Amino acid sequence: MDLMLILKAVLTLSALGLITSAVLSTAARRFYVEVDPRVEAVAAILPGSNCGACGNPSCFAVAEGIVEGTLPVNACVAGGQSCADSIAVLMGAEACAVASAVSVRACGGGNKAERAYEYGGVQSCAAVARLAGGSLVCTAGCLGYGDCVEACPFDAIAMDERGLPVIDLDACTGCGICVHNCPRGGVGLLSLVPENAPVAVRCNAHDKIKDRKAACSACCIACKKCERACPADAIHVIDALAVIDYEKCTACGTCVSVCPQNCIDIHGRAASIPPRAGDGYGKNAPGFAVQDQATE
Amino acid sequence: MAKGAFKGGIHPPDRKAATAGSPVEWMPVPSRLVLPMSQHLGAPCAPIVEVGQHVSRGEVIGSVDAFVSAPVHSPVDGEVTAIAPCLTAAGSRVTAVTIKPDAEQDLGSFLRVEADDPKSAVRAAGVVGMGGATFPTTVKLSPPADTPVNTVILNGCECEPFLTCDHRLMLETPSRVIDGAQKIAELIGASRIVICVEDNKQDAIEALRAAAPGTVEVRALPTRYPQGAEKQLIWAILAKEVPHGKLPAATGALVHNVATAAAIADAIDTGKPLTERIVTVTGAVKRPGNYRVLLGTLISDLIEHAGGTVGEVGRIIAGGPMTGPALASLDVPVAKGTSGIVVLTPQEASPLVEDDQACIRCGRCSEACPMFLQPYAIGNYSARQDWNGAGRFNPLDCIECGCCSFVCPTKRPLVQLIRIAKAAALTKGVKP
Repeated sequence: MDLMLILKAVLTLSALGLITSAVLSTAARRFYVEVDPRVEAVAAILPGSNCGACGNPSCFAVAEGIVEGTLPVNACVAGGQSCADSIAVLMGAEACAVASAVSVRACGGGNKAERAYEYGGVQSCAAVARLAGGSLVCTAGCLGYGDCVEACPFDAIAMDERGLPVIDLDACTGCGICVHNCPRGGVGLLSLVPENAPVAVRCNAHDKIKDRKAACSACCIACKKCERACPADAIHVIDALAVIDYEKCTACGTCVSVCPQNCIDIHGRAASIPPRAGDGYGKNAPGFAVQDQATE
Repeated sequence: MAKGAFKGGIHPPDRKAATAGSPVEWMPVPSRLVLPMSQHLGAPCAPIVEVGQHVSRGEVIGSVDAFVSAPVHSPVDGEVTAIAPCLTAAGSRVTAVTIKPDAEQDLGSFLRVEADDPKSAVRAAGVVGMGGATFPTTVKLSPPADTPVNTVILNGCECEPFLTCDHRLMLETPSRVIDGAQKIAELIGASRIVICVEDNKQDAIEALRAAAPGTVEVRALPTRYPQGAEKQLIWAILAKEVPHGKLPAATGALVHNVATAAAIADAIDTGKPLTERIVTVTGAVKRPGNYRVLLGTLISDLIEHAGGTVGEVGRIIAGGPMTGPALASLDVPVAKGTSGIVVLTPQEASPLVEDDQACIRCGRCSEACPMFLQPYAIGNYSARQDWNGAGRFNPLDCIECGCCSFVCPTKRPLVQLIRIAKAAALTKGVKP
C-alpha cells in the first residue's frame, strides 16, 4: 500500500476542512444577525399551524410583529385566551381579552335533506355548489362533501354518519377558515359564535316554510315556540328563522326542549348543559335537562 | 401544420342520423312561457313589465343599459302572470317573467324593433351568440378601433354529436345565413366571408354553395371535434393562433354562428326580435326532430311535444353532449343558447363518479387537448386545491370542449376540475 498516497489524501482534506471552517467562523461573526430571543419564545407559544386566520403569513411573522410591537399580544385568534395570557406575561404587557369564538354549523339536514339531483363528479362542496346551486333542494343547507374538514388546520371537524360535519369544540380555535372555505359560509351555514355559546339553531333556511319543509324534515318551521318559551328573551324568529342573542342567553335549555323539530341543539361549553352532549340530538341528547331558572 | 387541421381533438360517434333528415317544424304555443332575464353573458336584464300586464309578441319585457347585455322580448301575445326567480338550464337561478299566452296567436306578426341603424337594430332585437356561448352580438360587432377585422367566419361546423339544428337551418334557408354574413361583413368593414361546414353535411354545403354569390366562400372542413370551436376554426381558415388572453379579433377574424347570422339578417331586414330558435330534440324520445321553439318554452313541454321519452332515461342534456350541462330539473326554459335537448339512456350516460379515480399519467388528455394544455396537471392540482400550481398550467386558456374527459381512461372529471381551477384563478385569494 502506498503510505504517501494515504497521507496526501488525509492532509489535503484536513487542509480543506481548516480553510472552510476558518471562512465559516469568520462569516458567522461578520454577518451575525441579531435575533430577539423573545421572538423564538413567542413563536413557541403560538399554535404554529400557520393558519392565516389573523391575516399574517405565518406564526413566526406574528411573533416578530408582537415583539416589534406592531401587533397586539392578543393578535392570535386561534391560540385563544391562554396563548394571549402567556405572551402577555412574556412581553410584560397588560393581559387583554381575546374574542374567543368557535365555529357552528347551522344545518341539521344531512341525510334528512331532499336531493335535487343525483350528483357524480368532483367530490367537493365547491364543485357541487356550482351545479344548479348545489345538489340539495334546500338552497341553504350543508352539501356534505367536507370542504370544511379538508380546510380545518386543527383537525377539529369530521363528517358523521348523517353526512354532516361535526365540530370538535375542544379542538376548534375559531380561526374561521372553515367559514371561508364553505361555499355557503357566506350565507351563514358555518359561522363563528362566542366560545361559550350554549345552544345553536341547526337551520339556515330563509325561503318559504312550505318550500323548506318539502326540502328537509329537520328545518326550522318558525313556529315561535322557542320565542314564547325563552325566559330571557334571547331567541327570536327573524325572517322566518330562529336567531339566538348570545348576549342574553342564560343556557337554561328551554328552547331546546320545546323545539318540535329538534332544530335547536346543544352546542356545548356551557355550565348548565353537559358539555359536548352530542350534535344534532336536540332535546334527545343524553343527560339533557332544562335548568330550572328559579333555583339560581 | 396544414390549414384545416388543428392539433388534438377527437372523433366521437356523431349520432346525427336520427334528426339530420327532419325538417324544422313549429312547436305549438305552450300553455306557459318562462323567460329568464339573463339569457346571455353579461349584465342581467331587469323586468320592465308588471304582473297582470298584457304584452304583445315582440314587446321588450326586460332590458338594461349595460353595454355587454341583450334585451329580452315577449315571444307571444299574452299576460304576465308572475315575476319570480327560476332555475335555468345552465344551473343558475335568475329572475324570470312568466307569460300566459292568449288563446289566439299570430306568430307571423310581431312588434318591430325601433332602431336608426343596423347595429342598434341587432342590439334592440336581443341577438346573442346562438351556438351556445350567448355572448351579446353587438359587442362582437364593435371591435376596438385598433384591431381591424377583415375576415368574417360563419360557423356552421356543428361538431357536437347529436345536434342538427344548424344543419337544418343551412339546408332550409341558406339565403338567410348568407344574407346575415354579408350584413356582418358590411357592419365591420370586412372584405372576406367564409362559411365553414364540416364535411359530414354535404347537402348543406351544396345548398349554401348554390345560394352563395361569388364573394362568399363555402368551405368544407374535416369532421373532427371541436372543429366548431372559435379558436380552432380561426386556425383552420387563417392558420393564425389567437394570442393568449386576447380576443379572436386580434387575428383579424370574427366568428359568428350561422344561426346568429340568420337572426342578424332578420333583425336588420324585418326588425324581428329574437323570440324563437331551432332546437334539436333527440336521443331516447318518441319523435326526434328539429323544432322551432318559442323562447321560454319549458323543456318538459318540449319533450312532451316530441312524444315523450322512450324507456329508461339516464340523463337529459341541454345543448350538445360534449359541453352541455345535465339538467337538474325539466322545468327549465329553452333560452337563446339552447341548441338541443339530448335524452340519453342509462347505458349512454357516463357513470356517476362517486370516488376519485387516480390519474395514471398516460398523457392522452394532453394529446387530445386542442388548446395545447396539460389537462391532467391542472386537474391534479385542482383536486388538491393548489390553485397556484394549477395556475402555472394556464387553466384560463381551456375552452371546456371536453376532449380530455372523453379520452381519459380512468374517467376523471377533468373538465369539472379545470372549471373549478378557472373559477379560483379568476377570483384569486381563495384561501383566506
